[in-house]
Amino acid sequence: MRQSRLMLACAAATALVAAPSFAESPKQWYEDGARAAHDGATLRANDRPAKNVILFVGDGMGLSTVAAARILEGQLNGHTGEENSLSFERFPYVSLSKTYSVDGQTPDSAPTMSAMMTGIKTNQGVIGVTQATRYNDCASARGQGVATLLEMSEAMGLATGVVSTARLTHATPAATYSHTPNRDWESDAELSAEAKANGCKDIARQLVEFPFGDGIEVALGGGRSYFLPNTSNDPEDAGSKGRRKDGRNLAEEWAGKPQSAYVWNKAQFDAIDPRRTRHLLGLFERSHMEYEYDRPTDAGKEPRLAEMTGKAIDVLNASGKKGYFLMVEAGRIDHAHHAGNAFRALTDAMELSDAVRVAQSKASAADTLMIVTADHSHVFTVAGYPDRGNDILGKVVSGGQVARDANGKPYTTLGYANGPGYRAPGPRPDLTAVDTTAPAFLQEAAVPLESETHAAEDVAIYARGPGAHAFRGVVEQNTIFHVMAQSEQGVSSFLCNLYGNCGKGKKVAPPLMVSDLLAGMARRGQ
Amino acid sequence: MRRMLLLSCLLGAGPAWAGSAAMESPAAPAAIAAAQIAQAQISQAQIAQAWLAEYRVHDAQGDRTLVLVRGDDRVEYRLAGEPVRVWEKVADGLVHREVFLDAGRVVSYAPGDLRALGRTPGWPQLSHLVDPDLRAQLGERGVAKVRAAHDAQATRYRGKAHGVPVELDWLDAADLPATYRSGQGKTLFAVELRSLRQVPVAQAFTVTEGLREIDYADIGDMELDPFARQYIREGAGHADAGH
Repeated sequence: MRQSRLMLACAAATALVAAPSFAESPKQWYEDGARAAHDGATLRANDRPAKNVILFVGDGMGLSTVAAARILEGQLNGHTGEENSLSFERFPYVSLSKTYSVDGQTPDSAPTMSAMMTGIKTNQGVIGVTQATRYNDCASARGQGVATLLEMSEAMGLATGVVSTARLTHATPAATYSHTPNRDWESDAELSAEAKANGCKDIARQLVEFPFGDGIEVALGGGRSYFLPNTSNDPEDAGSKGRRKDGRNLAEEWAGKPQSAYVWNKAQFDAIDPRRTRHLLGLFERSHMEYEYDRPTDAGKEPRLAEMTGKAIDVLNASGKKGYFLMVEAGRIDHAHHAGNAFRALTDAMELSDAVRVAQSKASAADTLMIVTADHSHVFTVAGYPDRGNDILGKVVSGGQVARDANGKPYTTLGYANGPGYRAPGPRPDLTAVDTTAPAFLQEAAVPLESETHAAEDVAIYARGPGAHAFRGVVEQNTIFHVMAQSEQGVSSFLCNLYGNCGKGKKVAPPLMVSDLLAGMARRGQ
Repeated sequence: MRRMLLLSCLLGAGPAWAGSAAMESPAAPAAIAAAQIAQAQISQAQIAQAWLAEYRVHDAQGDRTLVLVRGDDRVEYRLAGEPVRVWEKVADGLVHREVFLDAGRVVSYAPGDLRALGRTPGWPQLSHLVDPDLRAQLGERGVAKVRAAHDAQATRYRGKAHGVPVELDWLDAADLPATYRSGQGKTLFAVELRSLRQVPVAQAFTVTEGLREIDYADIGDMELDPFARQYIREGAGHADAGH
């Protein structure tokens, strides 16, 4: 249904080329600009503690992705598109995040999300451990786990949640609750002999055996096979089994705890009553969840990211705790870019915008710090000189004429510096008769690679609510943790007492290690 | 179709390569024969069979051996020097797996990955090696016996497809090509059946148990993995102008 609506809207948008949607005039431009300036000048910082913190991560959602998604959403709504704003682009505070890792100019999702969750930068491929850890070396990770904001939140008595369209064991969600020298150790089947010998736990197991507070309240996403034993049939995909070799059914273990539930399809998800469910695990695909564009055709049926976000907030609110920390990831923007498919990257970015909108309707700006950012960018470009309102997925039309390259061939507005969209061998293809707005169209790439790559450019941070005003200028990515930590009630006073930056004398050297947090909890009898 | 084929084999009207126990006692009394046929039918039904066809393929790279294994919902291609390629029908569409036996890896493309990449071949072509619909574009030119298929009958088709001369001999029983030739000279592409048999599905396909399966979607995030790095570099160039 949505798919066909989308296609119809695409067709409608194409027909609107170069037709501004609003009554734009010099007076209107001036007054809109003046209003924005005035709003900025009179904005009052909210420096109260944040009851709740919600961190949204668009995996791979660089600035060019945000701009193109903004235009596409506007065009699908029947406008020219450029003037549109995604939900989070209306947040009052914006900063830029430098995403490099300790040992990489262009990072992967493991060190970047670790930076956001622990407050320190670390190495490529590792999650929630310091830079003293060597990739793929379990022994080197011993004692190097750094406490995450989610762990501290649980330890301080808050409710916590993790939502992703990727596998729950994938790097971004995993960085909220796990510590590992190899991001790919998602089930015990992936653990190396060295990892097993030195006691490293796989990521799925770390989620279910989470040792802080009373455990994570909500975990919704994909990755079912990483939780099921290789002797268990998958409930959705006939003939497929789980990956685990240790015989454990982690989904059943989760569901076996008091007031806990495990769901794997939308009907079960819809049936969950947040007031009666304290711990909810949803695993809606064997691996990653569907792209938003493909979701309606999924055989088992799965919820939208926006629906998962809403349900997660409902469960967290119903927990009776004094507040919550929630991380929501649009994980498949990254995958679509890797595949060189801008259509799916942009439609997933639009879905993130919808998820933020749902969160805004359920969490007040007065007491909830909400942050939207990306872990890294992609080599995705919005190029040429298309006319106002030109179909963002189409060929460049300039001055009403199809723009052509040096050989007289048309080219698209969107493209990639590398990836599967490289056409080889020979000269560029003639796109004259090609529908470049088709969902399966791969934008051209300059360098042939089977998978498109990340990019090193900065990504944006959009924020609103208590403490959001701390985002200023261009910051290191790990600053995001510190803004959340200093804003979130409970966690802020805990860290303040620990590190003495509230005038009480320094007790320990940062960062806070997992072992220290566990020891502290043990002393408090938690 | 398969049931009809088995039945015709059991009745002695078809080739022995289809695996008929009843063929061994053609002179048995009718009642015994009927009982044997019934028993054989039950056995065949209990043990799902797959076609295993070996072809000689000739193209610009020269001559190579291609093994095709086809079950009801799965087809596998083994071509020398390339990973084993498996296509499987699932509820959401097609799953594609590339099996790298030496590296101990399987790269898996979910239906969504294939759609995102614009790589969505039709099941008829995948499962028949040559698209069966091609026959409708060609003219029927009698029948021939195929020695590689134990003298099974093939229907001969000749004509042009997209302006290129095509010869196709189609094994009706197995629903597979016996020979296919298109183009000529340097553009000649030819496929010739060398052997054909049925084997139990459980033994027909390449065993992937113990291999590490990774999603195509994850390859781009695995730059520290030597296998993934090589895959990213060497798997390029699949896109065409249309998609």
